[in-house]
Amino acid sequence: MTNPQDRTEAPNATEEVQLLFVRHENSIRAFVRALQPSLSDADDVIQETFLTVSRKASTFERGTNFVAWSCGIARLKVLENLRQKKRANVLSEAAIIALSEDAPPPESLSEMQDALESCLERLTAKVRDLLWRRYSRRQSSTEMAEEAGMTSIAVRVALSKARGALRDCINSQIQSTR
Amino acid sequence: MNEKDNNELDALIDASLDGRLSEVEAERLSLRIEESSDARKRYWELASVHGMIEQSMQNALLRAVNGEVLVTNAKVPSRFRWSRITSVAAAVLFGIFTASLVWACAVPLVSSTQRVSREVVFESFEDPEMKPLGRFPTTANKWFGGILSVPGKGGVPAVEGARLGKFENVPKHRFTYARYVVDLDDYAEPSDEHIRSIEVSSSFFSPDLDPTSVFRIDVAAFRELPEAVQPVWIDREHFDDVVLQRVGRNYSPELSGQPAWHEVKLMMEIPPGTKSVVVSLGSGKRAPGGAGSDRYIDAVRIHLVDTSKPVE
Repeated sequence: MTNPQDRTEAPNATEEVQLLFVRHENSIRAFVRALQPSLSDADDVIQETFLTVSRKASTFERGTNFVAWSCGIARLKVLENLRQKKRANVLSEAAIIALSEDAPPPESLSEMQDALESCLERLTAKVRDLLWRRYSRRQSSTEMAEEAGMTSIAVRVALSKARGALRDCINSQIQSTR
Repeated sequence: MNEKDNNELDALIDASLDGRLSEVEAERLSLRIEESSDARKRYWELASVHGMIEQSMQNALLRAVNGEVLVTNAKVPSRFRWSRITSVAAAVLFGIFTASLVWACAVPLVSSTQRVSREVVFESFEDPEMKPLGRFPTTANKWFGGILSVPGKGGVPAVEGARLGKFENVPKHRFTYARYVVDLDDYAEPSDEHIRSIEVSSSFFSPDLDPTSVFRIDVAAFRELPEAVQPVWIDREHFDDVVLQRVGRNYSPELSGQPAWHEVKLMMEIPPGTKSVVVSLGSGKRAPGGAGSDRYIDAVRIHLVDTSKPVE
């Protein structure tokens, strides 16, 4: 399909990087979401990154780290988005650049993902319910509070504690496997 | 950093990840991140968890929307999943990929049963008169490309019916394709509360697989009417600017055991404004002469699937 003229039917460089992008989308998305908390902005950035990665397919050197290459492009897209939106209540450009330079390697994200699965199962049903509402149904703290019979502050605190507990659980699991 | 510093930093990071930083807090967090590698490490730890929880929950939701059963407090084996595309920028491909995380949820899902699937194409190549037409469809609801109908036989039994499709042998090509255009004007539009997707499944067979063998499905959405898609398709320079959405999947069959049919599936969300959806089914090898071997196709199904939009 990337070869509409059918002159040669083999996957070309563009298609190859697109497939790599799909394969590694979890890692690229995790990188973007960390720098771009707004979901709609993150989706825009990921799509822009995909388009740029496709356009620059010929400059990707096979055998080098695709995720690192894509995240380099994604970082620029995050910064572009930041400049376009001109929001004051987000991280500064300097902070985003510093963060992206200290981003964890894709292997460590994969390790964390494996650990997360079992850590999620250790949470109470109530906390999992809150996480589900927040991350899957994308409910606001107020909506969650109304449906869960809590105050919105209590919801925020519970979510914060849940993330902290998961971070600690993941770190502990990773340490124990080393 | 002492515990108090850590707590304050965690609170700022949490507020940032939830999108509720004030201007002053954003400045404070930015400064700490710029100045401290410990702060950056802590940010990444929490932000990574944030992103991973989201993916895990979205995976669970996608499985539910696709009609799969959720199991309370039980692990579900990792498998392929579909990626829901949340907006419709041009030429974006987020196809199928292996889910590294799938988490079963105990929470009731509002949208899990609101899924209406309608089969719009079933093709088992039973028409013996079927002959390859041009490479690319110039009209809707007909198969084009290098495909002809042949009877099923002992070594290559049909999956459905008595006959099957055989890809044309074209030794100078690596792949040959069968293509079809679905005219969406033939179907009522989904309501505002629904997202429409297209699901394609097809069975492929080749008696002489090797590590370079590939079966593939591509789907692309266009705002053009079916009769007007061909010129858009062949204009490679502007193709990416014109296509509304496309998804492609390569399937590399396993080589172990006897030759067998391989079912490949693909799903794509159809953006609003789409008039035509091109379905392209290909078979060949990532090697010169890949389309010079015998390759078969059968039991092609195309569904339009309307699902309720996730609750915001």
